[in-house]
Amino acid sequence: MAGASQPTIIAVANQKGGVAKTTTAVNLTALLALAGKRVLLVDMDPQGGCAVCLGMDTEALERSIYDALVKPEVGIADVVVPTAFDFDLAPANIDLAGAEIELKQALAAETVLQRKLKPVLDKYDYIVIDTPPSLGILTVNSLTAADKVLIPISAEYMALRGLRMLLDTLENVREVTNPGLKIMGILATRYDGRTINSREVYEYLREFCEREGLHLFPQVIKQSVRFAEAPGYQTPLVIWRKDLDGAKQYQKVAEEVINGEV
Amino acid sequence: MAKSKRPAFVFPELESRGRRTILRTTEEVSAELNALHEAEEEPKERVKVTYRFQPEAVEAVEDIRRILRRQHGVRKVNREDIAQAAVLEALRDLESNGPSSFLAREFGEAAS
Repeated sequence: MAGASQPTIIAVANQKGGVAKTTTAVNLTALLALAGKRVLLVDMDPQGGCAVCLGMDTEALERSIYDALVKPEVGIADVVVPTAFDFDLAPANIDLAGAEIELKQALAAETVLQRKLKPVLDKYDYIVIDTPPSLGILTVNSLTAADKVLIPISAEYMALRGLRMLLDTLENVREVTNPGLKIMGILATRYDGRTINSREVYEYLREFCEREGLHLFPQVIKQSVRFAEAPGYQTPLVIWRKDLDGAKQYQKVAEEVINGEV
Repeated sequence: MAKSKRPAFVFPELESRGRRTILRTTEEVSAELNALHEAEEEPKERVKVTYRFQPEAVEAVEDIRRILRRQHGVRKVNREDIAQAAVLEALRDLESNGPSSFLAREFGEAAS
């Protein structure tokens, strides 16, 4: 429970690329921090998008999450850097791609992140994990370490592909490494209400969630070029332009998260 | 001829196929976790070092051992365990409390 000694750990996951995982992770983290929560953002994607969104040079990082995952002597606290937005970041860069191979040699490789996070749990109210667009060992580590998973899905036909595979993976993780893993909800992103396709996909998603007993966030994140522009300003959209619709939409999602409704 | 309607939106791929991402069992992962925990709990090899203590410090180690045994029921503790625990605790105190730590005050005063 947030605020107690144990943080709520949220993995933002979907093996499909381009569904706004990083955008969701960064903006949700920034909003939790704005609400006065102590937050750590862990980037488990070798593309290092979180650091880029916050104006950091991923190539200049002295240490990254890669070091914490593959070097026994390096802890998460050694790689965490404070950001200008009142939250901490465990950044990633392309080195992390190597961890896919190196972690496979480790004992209980699925649980490395979970074990590495233990010493810093009492420092945070929330830990948000941005995952890579794959179902490899980095995603499995993220899901094993998490209490809840938030699934962004862009409202388009192709994005529905793989949702079942992700749900099967979550079930698999529950069976093998993390029986307590809950699905926080599905968040429709890149929604364009002007297109029949977006509306049809959203309606299908709504029916699917109802049938499967999954929570679909009532707030959709609409398609906006502002999300693509925000990294250029090295600031999360919700801080850079909180007057914009996109920022207000993420605010609603964050309120639902903070109020513990999901 | 009637104009064709949009086809009904269907998505059969959302049906479960029971595929697994983690190709291992709970037992396999648990066994490895147990092995890791055991390795962490194994005492590390000790290195022999020699420091000279004043007689009252030597007696203090004996006193600690006696008090632990008689008043706290601690049977399995030797002089090395006591000295090691005290040194590690002193380091934790020094790192956490800096100038107000016991060692900094003790030797800071001695130096001044």
